[in-house]
Amino acid sequence: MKKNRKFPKILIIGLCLIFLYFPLVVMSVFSFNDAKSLSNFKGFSLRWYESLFNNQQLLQAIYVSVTIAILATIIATVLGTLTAIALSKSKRIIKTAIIQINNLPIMNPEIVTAISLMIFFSFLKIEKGYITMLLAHIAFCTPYVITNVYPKIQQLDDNLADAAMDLGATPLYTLIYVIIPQIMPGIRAGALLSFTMSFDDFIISYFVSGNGVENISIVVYNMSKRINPSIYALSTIVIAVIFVLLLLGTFIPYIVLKKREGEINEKIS
Amino acid sequence: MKKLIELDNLTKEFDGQVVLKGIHLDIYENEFITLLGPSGCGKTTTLRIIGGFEDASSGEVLFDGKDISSLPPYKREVNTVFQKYALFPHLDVFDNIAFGLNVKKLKKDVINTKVTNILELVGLQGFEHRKISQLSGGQQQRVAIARALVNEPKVLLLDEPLGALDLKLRKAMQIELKNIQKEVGITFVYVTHDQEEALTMSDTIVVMNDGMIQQIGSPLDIYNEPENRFVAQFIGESNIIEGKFVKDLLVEFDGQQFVCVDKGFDEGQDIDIVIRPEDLDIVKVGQGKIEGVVSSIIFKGVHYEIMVQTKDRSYKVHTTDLSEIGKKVNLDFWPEDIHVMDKMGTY
Repeated sequence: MKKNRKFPKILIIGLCLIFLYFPLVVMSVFSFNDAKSLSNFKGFSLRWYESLFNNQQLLQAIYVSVTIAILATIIATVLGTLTAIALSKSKRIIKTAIIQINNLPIMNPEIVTAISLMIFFSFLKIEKGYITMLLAHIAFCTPYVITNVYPKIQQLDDNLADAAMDLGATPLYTLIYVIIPQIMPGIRAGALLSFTMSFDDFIISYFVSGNGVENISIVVYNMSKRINPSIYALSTIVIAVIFVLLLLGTFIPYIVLKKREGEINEKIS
Repeated sequence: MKKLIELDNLTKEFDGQVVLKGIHLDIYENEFITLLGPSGCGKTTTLRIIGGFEDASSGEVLFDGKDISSLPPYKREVNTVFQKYALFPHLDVFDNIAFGLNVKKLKKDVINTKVTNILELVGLQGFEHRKISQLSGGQQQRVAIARALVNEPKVLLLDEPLGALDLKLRKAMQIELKNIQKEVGITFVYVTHDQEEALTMSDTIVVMNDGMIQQIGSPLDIYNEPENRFVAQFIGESNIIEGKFVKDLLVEFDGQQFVCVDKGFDEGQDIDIVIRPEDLDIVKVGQGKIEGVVSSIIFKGVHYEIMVQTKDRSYKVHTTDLSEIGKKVNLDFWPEDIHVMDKMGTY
C-alpha cells in the first residue's frame, strides 16, 4: 500500500524536474556537438568552447557582466543596509512613505524602469557606457537589499545598541560588531539577490549601455539571431558555475556548523 | 560617604508630554539606591538619563562633580543591566562578558582572567562557551550582570533586572544581588516597581510618582514615616484616615482625640493619618479605642486580613488571631502606631 502511495509522488516530482532541467541538459549536450546542428549530435568536441575563448567580444561581455554584478552588489548592499538601518530610526510617516516608494521599482515593469533610466541619463547628458550600466544596476538592486534587510532590523532588540554603547563601544564599533552580525542573514539574502538580478539583467542593461559596452545578455541576444553554439558553451559554463556556487552555499554552512559543534563538544569534554 | 552622582533639576519631555518634573537626587559611593514607583512614574527615564541613553530636556547630571550631560553612553563610567538583558545573541557567554574588555583592547590573558573571575562571582563557571539561547532566564540574568560588572564601573545601573524571573528565583536573586553589591563595593542604582524588592535590598529608597520624587529615605523611614498618602499607599498596606492635628502629641479623627508621637505640624491643620494593618489589634469590647463590627475575614497564609466596620470607615487589620464575622469588637493601637502626614491630593 505504502509503495502505491509513494509512486505518484515520485512521478510528479520527476516530471517537474525533467520539465525544468531537460532543456538545460539538451543545451549542455549540444554545446559539445561537433556540428553546428541543433538536431543531430555529430560527436563530442570542444570546438565551441575553443571558439568561445577566442571570441574577444564574448570575453569582454563576461568581464562586463561579472565586474558590474560584483560592484553593483557591493554598492547596493552597503547603500541598502545603511538605508534600512536609518529607516528603522525614522519617524513613522517617513518610514511608511520610503518603504512604499521602495516597493515601486520592484513592482514596476522592467521595461518602464529601463526607458526611464535611459531618458534620465540622456537628460543629464551622461555618456552611455559602463558607468551608466553600473549606476542603473545599483539603482534596481538597492530596493531588494532594503526589502531583505529592513525586517531583520525590526526584529532587533532596541536595547542591543544601547547595551553595546553602554559597554564602551562607539556607534561605528556597535554597527560593525553588534548590529551587522545580527542582520547578516538579511544582508546575505539581499546581496545574493542583487548579484543574480544584476548578472542576468538584459532589458535595463540593453537600454542604458552604449559605446560598445555589452554584458553577456546583450551579446547573447545579438548572437541568437544566427545559430552559434558558442552561446551554448557559454551558457553551460554559467550553469556549471552557478551549480558549484549553489552546492558550496548549501554545504559550507553545514560543514562549518558541524565543525563548530565538534569544537564545542571537545571543549566541554 | 562621598557624593558620586548628582541630579540637578532634571526635566524630560517626550513629544510635549512631561515625564520628569524637576528631579533632585544625590547618589553616594557604595550605596544601594532604589528608584521605586508605579509604571510611568519616570524611574526608568531617570536611569536612562544617568546612563546617557536619553538627554534631559533641562537640568544637569554631575558625576564626581563634573557635568556629564553631554557625554555619550560609551564615555560614561557607568554600566547598565537592561530589563530584558539585551545580551548579544551571536556571541557566546564568554564573548558577551568580554565585549567591554575587547572594546578597550585589553590583552587576551587579562581578559581571560577577568571573565573567569566574574563568572565565578555570578556562579556560572563552566558556561563560557554556551550560546545565549541555551541559557535559562536566571542564567541570562547572571550573564547580563557579569557583562556589566566585569568593566569595574563606579556605578551599576539596573533596570528592573528581575522582572522576568519567577517569584522564587526573584527572591533568591535579590539576596544574591545584594551580596554581589557588598562584595564589589560599588554603587547600585536599581529601578523597580516592586516595593518588597526595594525594601529587601536597598540602603536608600527613592519613591517616585508622576515625574516627581515623593520621598527619599531608608527602607525603615519610608515604611514607618511615609511623607504623604501616595508613599503610604504604595509601600505596604495601610489605613489612611483624614484627621486634624490638635496640637503637638495630639490628633483628632473619627470624632475622638488620640495621643500620638508626632510634633511640628500647625495646630488645627488638616492631616492624613496612617495606621498600618499589622499595628491594629482586635480586642474585646471596652478594652480598645474604637468600636466596630467584624465584616470580613480573609486567610492570607501568615495572617488573617480582617475588615472591621466602624461608624466612620472600614479598618483593615492584619492579625494571627481568628475572629468571627458579625462579632462586636474594639480596635486598639499605640500612640507610636499613628503616623501623621501632610495632606495632599487624593490618590
